[in-house]
Amino acid sequence: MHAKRLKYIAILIITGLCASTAQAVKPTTNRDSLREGRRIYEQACAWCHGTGGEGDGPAGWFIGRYSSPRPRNFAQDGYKFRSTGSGDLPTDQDLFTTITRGIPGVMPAYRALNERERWQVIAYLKSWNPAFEEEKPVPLTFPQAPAAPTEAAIHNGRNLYVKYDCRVCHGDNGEGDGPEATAGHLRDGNNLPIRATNLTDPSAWKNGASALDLFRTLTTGLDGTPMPSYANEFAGREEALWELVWYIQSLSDQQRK
Amino acid sequence: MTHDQERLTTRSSDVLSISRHSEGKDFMKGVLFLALALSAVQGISPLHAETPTGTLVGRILYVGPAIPDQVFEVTRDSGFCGAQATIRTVTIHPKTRGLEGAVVSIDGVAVPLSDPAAPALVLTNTRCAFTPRLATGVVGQQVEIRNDDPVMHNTHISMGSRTLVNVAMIPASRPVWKPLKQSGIYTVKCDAHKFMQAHILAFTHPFFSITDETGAFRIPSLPPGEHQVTIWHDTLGTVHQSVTIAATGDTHVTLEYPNHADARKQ
Ligand code: HEC
Ligand code: HEC
Repeated sequence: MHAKRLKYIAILIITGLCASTAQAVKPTTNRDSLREGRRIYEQACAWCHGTGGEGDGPAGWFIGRYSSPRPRNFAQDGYKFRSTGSGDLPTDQDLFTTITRGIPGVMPAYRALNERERWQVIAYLKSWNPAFEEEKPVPLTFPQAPAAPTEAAIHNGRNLYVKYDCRVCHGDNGEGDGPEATAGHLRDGNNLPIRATNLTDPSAWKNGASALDLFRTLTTGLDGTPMPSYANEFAGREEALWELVWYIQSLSDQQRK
Repeated sequence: MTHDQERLTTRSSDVLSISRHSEGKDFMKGVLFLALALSAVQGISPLHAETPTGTLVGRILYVGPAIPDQVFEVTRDSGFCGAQATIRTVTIHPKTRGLEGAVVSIDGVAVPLSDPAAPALVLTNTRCAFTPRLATGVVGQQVEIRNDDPVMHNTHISMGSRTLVNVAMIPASRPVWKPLKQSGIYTVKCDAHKFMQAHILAFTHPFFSITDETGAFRIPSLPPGEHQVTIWHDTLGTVHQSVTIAATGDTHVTLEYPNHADARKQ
């Protein structure tokens, strides 16, 4: 019981540390900063994302060749990790968070780049997709996570998990073994096979494991994957969405018994 | 243009090119060979408008052999959705041989879109299928997504690798609205029911039309002169052809989708 709690707290602390990176001030973009961005990109990112940004770097050749995820194609793909609505582009801050945190299992965290360098590389990768000029992504507002959950709230969350059919992909107990996943039906935006995340193992989650992170994942969905947005389903019922979030968190809690 | 589109140009004709929107119907790849018969007959009708405009009137025919429907085993919700799902590939009118559900458009004419308040395109999940399976609209127009079924669907609309919207819809969900962002071919899927599919074609002009059950279409208010016509069908692919719109009245065309070169020689 004690060990279980400690581990859970450790996860919260680690994710809390990750989240605290987000408040950097963004410098303005000009030709010099784009040139710098390109230099950094070619050293740090092109290996996977390709010199032309199309997700086809030398390592990209084997990463994601036959199954998801392939390195993002910055010229045309949508984005998974956002604070914006389904189908919308990420904000600069979202991109900053992704690069700072990295993506567990597939992409390193780039804390070694200073903040200015991270902004420069962001300006450079955005320059490949004209949609960043045409669309103005607006971040959604997310409420503060309420105080610790009660047993009853987690129980309600379980009912919501069943009612909203998360099991179709993630399985009855969240282990990523739902019928559509095991049948091999799930495909990403490149038509590559994609797995439904194991919701009992937060260390592998890409979009963060704090309650607020999960709330955001469920609100925005992960574009370019089967994971849908639930924003419409929970509009005006935020407390229900928190219950679902707590139930998801409780799955890893229980696993560690 | 989606990332998985394939484009090839035939040798003999200068204007004819084919691009196929492939979605795993690989069996069609390479064998699909479109030839196209165009006959333009200038009709005469009185002119009312101050600036002269013509109307393109025509019919799209399919004269090749029957293409079998796609049949899927339904592995989820089969109690409601049925044990099998059948997707019509080509629907031909028995009398006219007209092809239903092809989209005809003329893309080169720059006009400001006059009607920003076009009604929403309603896309409904009904009996484990999208209704309609084919819709056309203009950039900025809203798509209204509904679920009438007692099972969960997720409606996932994308163009190439970019998602336009992907929303979960449990039974009795309220509708979701999303505007079309860019011109091109949107694919509509449900990740919970692999056999569900539909398309939305979005344009930046009003010059498009879906062929009716007899294969007929009509595009009014066109400036006279030479234009490039694009015909798209979800199974048969895309054909381009130039036509000359008469300064007044109707310009008639008949376009044919034969299925492949060998069949034509017989
Ligand atoms: C070791 C390979 C690798 C390197 C190096 C790498 N990436 Fe990635 N990156 C990936 C993969 C793989 C994905 C796709 C992950 C997914 O879809 O789950 C990705 C996705 C992304 C995304 C998209 C996140 C989203 O919301 O969809 C951004 C932005 C990104 N990378 C930026 C960068 C930048 C900037 C650099 C260099 C500073 C970099 N990457 C270096 C492999 C790499
Ligand atoms: C149609 C299938 C499908 C449904 C339904 C679905 N998911 Fe997902 N979900 C996925 C897939 C696939 C991924 C993995 C995306 C990736 O790896 O990029 C995912 C990812 C996630 C993640 C993200 C983890 C991370 O990496 O940060 C969470 C959390 C999640 N789902 C929770 C849920 C919950 C809760 C529900 C129900 C309310 C649900 N999902 C419904 C397919 C689905």
